[in-house]
Amino acid sequence: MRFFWFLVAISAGILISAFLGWVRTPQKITNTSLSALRSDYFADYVLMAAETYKSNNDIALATYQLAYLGSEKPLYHVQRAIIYAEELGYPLEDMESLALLASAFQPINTPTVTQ
Amino acid sequence: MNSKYREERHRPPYYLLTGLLLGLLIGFAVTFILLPVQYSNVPPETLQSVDKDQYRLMIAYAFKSDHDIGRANARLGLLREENLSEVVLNQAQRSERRSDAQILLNLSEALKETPSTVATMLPPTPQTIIQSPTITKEPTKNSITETIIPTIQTIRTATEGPTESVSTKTPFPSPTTINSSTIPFRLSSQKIVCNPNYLAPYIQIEVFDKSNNPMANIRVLVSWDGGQDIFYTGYFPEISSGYADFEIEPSIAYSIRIGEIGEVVDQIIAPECKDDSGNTYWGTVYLDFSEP
Repeated sequence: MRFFWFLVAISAGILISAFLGWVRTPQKITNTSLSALRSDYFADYVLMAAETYKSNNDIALATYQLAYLGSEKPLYHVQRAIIYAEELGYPLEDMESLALLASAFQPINTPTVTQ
Repeated sequence: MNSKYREERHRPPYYLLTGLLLGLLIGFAVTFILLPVQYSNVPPETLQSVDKDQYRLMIAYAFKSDHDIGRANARLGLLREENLSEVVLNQAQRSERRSDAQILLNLSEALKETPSTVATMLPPTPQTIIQSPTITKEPTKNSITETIIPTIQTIRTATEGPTESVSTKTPFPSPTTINSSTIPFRLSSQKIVCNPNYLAPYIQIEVFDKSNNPMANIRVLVSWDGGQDIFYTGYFPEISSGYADFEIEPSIAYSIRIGEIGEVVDQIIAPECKDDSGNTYWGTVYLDFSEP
């Protein structure tokens, strides 16, 4: 019987700490990462990478910069950013920068010769 | 025998306390270390310091590419830091790579040359606006030259953010036509916004003119017991050019005044909302002001 109540007490402790840790989250959020950016800020981050790429054509740098957004492939981030940018009505110049970066990450399809 | 039995019965149930502490330890280890809360849809101001450094570096790289100090300023403003030039300079000094340090240094120097109103993310005062007739024209990226930065960039800060396109599509009303000091703005409506996606409670403000058009660059004074802050409408053109918001503490009552002689709305307190699961969270207060 004593062991039963001991387990109940442990469960209560776990429940309390789970509530404090997961449900009652802090009012002031800090220490978040770039991968958690809101869509408009995300798109702007990718746009910064695109602007940089446009001027220096450094694909390695762009890859490094986009790696901060998550473990997905860089092209995925750029494509997401283009979708957001379209929704937000980015000007043509910015859309072109994003498209240029996307094309840089596109796999090169070599034409297959059929006989 | 009897006395011993009585002693055992009156012993406090320490095992319950031990169990509770053990449970708390396990729970905290899981919720704070193993599986901490993962936030999403966050603004740049909440980033950890390493990521803020990367964000600043990205801004510096973009600035190096487009030489658009207004845009760089607006982007840095999203981090909600003061003395932007110094912050960037500090990062340049502790930068590991020489190339990064140089890029950051260039940005820091460019920030120093811009007016302080821009550096602190505040739009110009109405007097400053009136003195610069060129700002009535919506500037294009290519039209900016170094000589016109002091006049044009101040306005671009308010209009230009991550979603610059909105400002391009819907130009803001010219600040020269707005003299908010003589407009007695009145509260048109007030409502509670319960949106669990908001990271914190806010006071949201939207200011409209007589024709119901949103008004940018309108001064908003928010005060509370022991403090006050001034900000301007127009920082979030993706929402509305007449929009502004201010993060509030749930337990504090705030008062708001729009312009210099507008109606004072006081006792603004974050409302309590409930989500679908019945959990409570702090809501937002939306205030709609208009020119009478």
